[in-house]
This record gives sequence, C-alpha cells and structure tokens, in this order.
Amino acid sequence: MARIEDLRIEHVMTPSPVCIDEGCTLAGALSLLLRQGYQSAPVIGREGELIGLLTRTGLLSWLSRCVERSDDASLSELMRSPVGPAMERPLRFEASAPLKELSRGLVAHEAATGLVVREGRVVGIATLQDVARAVGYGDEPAAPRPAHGHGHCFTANGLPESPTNETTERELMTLLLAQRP
Amino acid sequence: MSVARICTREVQLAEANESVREAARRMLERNVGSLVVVDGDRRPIGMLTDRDLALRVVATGRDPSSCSVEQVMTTMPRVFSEDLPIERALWLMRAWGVRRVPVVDGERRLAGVLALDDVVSLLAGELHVATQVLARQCPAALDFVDEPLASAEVR
Repeated sequence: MARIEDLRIEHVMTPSPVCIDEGCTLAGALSLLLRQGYQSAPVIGREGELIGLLTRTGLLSWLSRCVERSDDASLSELMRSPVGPAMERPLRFEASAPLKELSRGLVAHEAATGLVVREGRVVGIATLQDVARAVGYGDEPAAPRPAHGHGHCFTANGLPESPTNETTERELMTLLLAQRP
Repeated sequence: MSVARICTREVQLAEANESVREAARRMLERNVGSLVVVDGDRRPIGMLTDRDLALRVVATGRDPSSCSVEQVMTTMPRVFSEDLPIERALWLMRAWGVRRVPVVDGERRLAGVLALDDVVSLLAGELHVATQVLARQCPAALDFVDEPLASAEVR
C-alpha cells in the first residue's frame, strides 16, 4: 500500500463522472441527480471543456431565490430553462496534484466536492469520502467505491429508465413547491 | 415533538485508542461521514468526521495506521438532550453549521444521533400533505415532473 503522502488525486478520484451538457434543462439535470443518486455533476461545453458544477443544494437554492424574486415565476417554466444560471463555480484540482492539496482545498472552501481535470477536461470527481477512502485503504483496488461514472454526458431533457429514489424525489419536490407563495 | 422521537438509535462508534485507518474503514463500510467517540461509560467525548481525516491526517501527512482516533478527532462535541424540541434542534444545527449531533440521556450517555436528513425527512412528510393540496389548486406546478421521463440522448 502506498504511503498517504505519496498518493495523488488521480489515485483516489472517481474517474469518468457523468457530465451534464450546458444545453441541458434544469428538469433534465435534476432528474439525473435524483434518479442516479448523485449529489452533483460537472457541466461541460461543446468541446468537453469544464464550465461549472451543478449540485442538488445549489439548484434548490437557485430555484428558491428565483421564485422569491418574482411573483410571476412559474416553476415549470424555470425547470425548462438551461442549467447555466444555477451552476456553481467548481473547485478544480489537477489530477497529478498530491492528495493533500485536495484535502486542504475541500476543507478551506467548506466544499464536499472537487472536480479533477487534466489539460482542462474533466477526468474525475473527488469528495471528502474519497479522502476517507484513501485514509482507510490507501490505493488498494479492493477499496469500496461509489457508482458514479461511465463517462456519459447527458444532453437532453430526459434519461433512460433507471431505479428512482422516490423518497429523495418527493422530498425535493416538496421543498421546491413549498417555496411557492 | 422531541429529538428522542426521530433520532437514529443505531450509532456508528469509534474508540479513542483505535487506529485512524480502522475507523476510516468503518466509515466507508457503514457509509457515514462521521463516527461518535465514546468513553467507557458510553458518554460522547468526540466526533471523528471525514473533514478531520482530510485536515488532520492527509493534509499533515500523518500515517493513519500509527495515529489514534483520539489524536485527530474533534473533542468536546455538542450534544442534544433527548427531550429537546425538534424545532430548537434544527435551529441549533443551522447555527452551529453541523449535520449530525449526538443525543444523550439524563446521565449524558449516548442515546442516539440526530441527523439533519432525519429532520428534513420528517418535515418533508408533513409538507407532502400541503403539497397535495397545492397540486390540486395549482396543477401546473407539477408539470416538470413528467418531462424527465422523455427519451434521453447520451453521447
């Protein structure tokens, strides 16, 4: 097992995360996050360049602010708009950087997720859970890993059929709808 | 309603003198971001979080096999008594900026853990009733729910 100070971010990240195309609607993006059970996903441009990060909490906060600002705001119309305005500026880390850089960065910015890039393109996603995994298992391949990846990029409003996390979806819908005047 | 009604009774624990590596493995196996550290009388003496692992183990280059939980945990954890009202607990969690708080009995022994997710689930259940009323009065608000079921293009 490698010593922890010898580990690089690329050793512990979850590679090939599912990405959201910048043209995707909020409804499509929210569906992706809920149905696949992800807390966040990178948003990429036409050339595959990293543009931003979309998180469940960020999306919810943005929608709440929109509805509060305008009495005329229709939630269904908002959900058809592109993801751009709801994105957050992501914390980005070079894949070859030492693991301690990820640890310090996430804690300093009170962030749970960082995006890992190589030559400007997203190659992975790294979280505090990945840091814990490195502490527990180093770079052992047998370490338990989350299921996030396959490198797909979702570009439309919909998603293939997949198991639905009904509880989470209901909770999020409830919270969203509760913001309506 | 008090926190005793909804807190999780099955708490993932760490021992003060066990290695950080063992504790980190347990965190992953149980899929939690924190462990409660208790003394011999089951009174909470600390919390070990994934943030502690990042800041006090990886960032400082410590060997997780040779350092103990006690050396890196967050000491003197804030606790809730079992009879604390949920509304007050929610306010305190927001004020403290924490998502999980140990719950103790009258003798300050660990009785459970209250997670922010538990509170949200409870409130969501109550709000769901209000949502159903809203859906009847304003069905357009639910339009977006069916949209994601359309076919997807994956590249």
